Amino acid sequence: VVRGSQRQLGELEALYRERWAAFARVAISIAGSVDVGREAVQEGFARAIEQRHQFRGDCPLEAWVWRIVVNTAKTARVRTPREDPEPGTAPEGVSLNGDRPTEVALWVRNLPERQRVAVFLRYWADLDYRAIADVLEVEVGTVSATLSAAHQGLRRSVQEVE
Amino acid sequence: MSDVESRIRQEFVALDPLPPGAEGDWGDVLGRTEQSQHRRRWALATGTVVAVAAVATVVLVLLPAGGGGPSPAAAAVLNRLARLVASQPLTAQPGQYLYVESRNDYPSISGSCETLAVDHRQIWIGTDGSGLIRDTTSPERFSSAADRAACLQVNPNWRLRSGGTSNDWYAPRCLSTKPGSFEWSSLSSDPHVLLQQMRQIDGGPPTPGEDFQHIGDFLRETDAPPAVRATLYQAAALIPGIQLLGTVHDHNGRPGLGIAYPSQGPYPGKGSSSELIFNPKTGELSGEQGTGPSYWAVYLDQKVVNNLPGEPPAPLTPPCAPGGAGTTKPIGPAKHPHGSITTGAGLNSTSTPSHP
Repeated sequence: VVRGSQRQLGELEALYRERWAAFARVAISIAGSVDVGREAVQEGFARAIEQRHQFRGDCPLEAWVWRIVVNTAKTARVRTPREDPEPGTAPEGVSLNGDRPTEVALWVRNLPERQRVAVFLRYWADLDYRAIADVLEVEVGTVSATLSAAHQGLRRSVQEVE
Repeated sequence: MSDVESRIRQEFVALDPLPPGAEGDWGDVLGRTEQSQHRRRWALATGTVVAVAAVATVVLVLLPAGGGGPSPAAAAVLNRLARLVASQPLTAQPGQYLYVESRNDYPSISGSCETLAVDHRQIWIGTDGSGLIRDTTSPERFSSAADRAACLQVNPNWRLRSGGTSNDWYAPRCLSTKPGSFEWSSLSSDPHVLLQQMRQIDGGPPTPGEDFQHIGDFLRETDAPPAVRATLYQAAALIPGIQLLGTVHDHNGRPGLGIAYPSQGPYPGKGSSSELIFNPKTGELSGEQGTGPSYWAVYLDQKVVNNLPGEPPAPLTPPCAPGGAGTTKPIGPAKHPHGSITTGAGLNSTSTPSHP
């Protein structure tokens, strides 16, 4: 049994208060909806509290919570009916704030899901490659290759525009 | 930082999906754990939490608890069960083990996928913190067609596990089935004080529903001495909102005395109920079941034994550090281990909390 249940609860609360905005940005981006994303963060942390006895310490607690929140957001996205945006006008997972989509916004929208989630974790949550690897349950080299491929895609799309 | 990364960071600022002024609500998170307290903490190795599998239909009988205080009928039964369990021969002596055998059906949550498997658990808990947990699981199944579809949409390559048996061995000081770091002797014999101690140790929101969960956490598959168990029953009798169900039947059809904590929860239509079932002759916890969603567990045997059921595949040495830190090594092929050994070896390099 993982010991220190009360201590873990305190750590989870501290993580939530310190990093809520990052969790919300990533979850909203994955879910494609502000409401669904915010709901995923709440539900993800509730699950983390309930499952904290299962945390085995094989990765940092924050990475473990990210994993839960990311998966909760993915599931919520699948289970939530939504209208697909017009192609090229409303990039999924990013807000346009009423402006025309930028190359970066379009690039994010067209990424394969795994690359897109890695990009969100990198740029919204500012996680390093090791932490992203823990969240996605892959090797660090896979994260490096994933982001590298994503960056190459952006370079190409920018060159095409220019 | 590369030019591409730099450009992405700059543009992401303008793409912020978070509405201005938005803030988190930690109280809401805690409220959800209370609302879904049927997802009780399954503290041991299988990593399962919530429950499924419908069981007996239970009709509330006798006196409902009412809103303000504990149910007199439930309290009377619990206090009688406390006297019974206090006299049970469940205290292992040095060199002996407390053996607990159970079956349960709880969902396993892994990412987007929620699956079920009946688990047959056998635990040997040594007085020195050594022991063995043997899990035999049936093949996994999805809880519903909708869950299967949701899982496979997110994880197209998901494969249900085929089931099997695992043996997790523990060197001295490496195995604790208690829901926290404490000694049984440190718990108060005053049930009012014990309720507060459990809140400190087990955490969660300070509510009667969570208190009822604590009672289960401290009883199930633990080596709590009979006197502590008796005080736990007396503490349960103090919890506002508990209800006496009268005679109920567990998943195996065995009759027992049921005590429940029904919760409507803060959200409409999401109520739940958690039930503890006690053997009316011995006072021991004999089963659990609940709704919203449903789950069940039956405790088949609990007794003191003199030996582990066999030899471990390697010596159970050295002991873990005081406090339980140790290292766990898998047994069998790396991709499909069929158990593990936890010892205090290598603590200076990669020590981690060892308890399951």
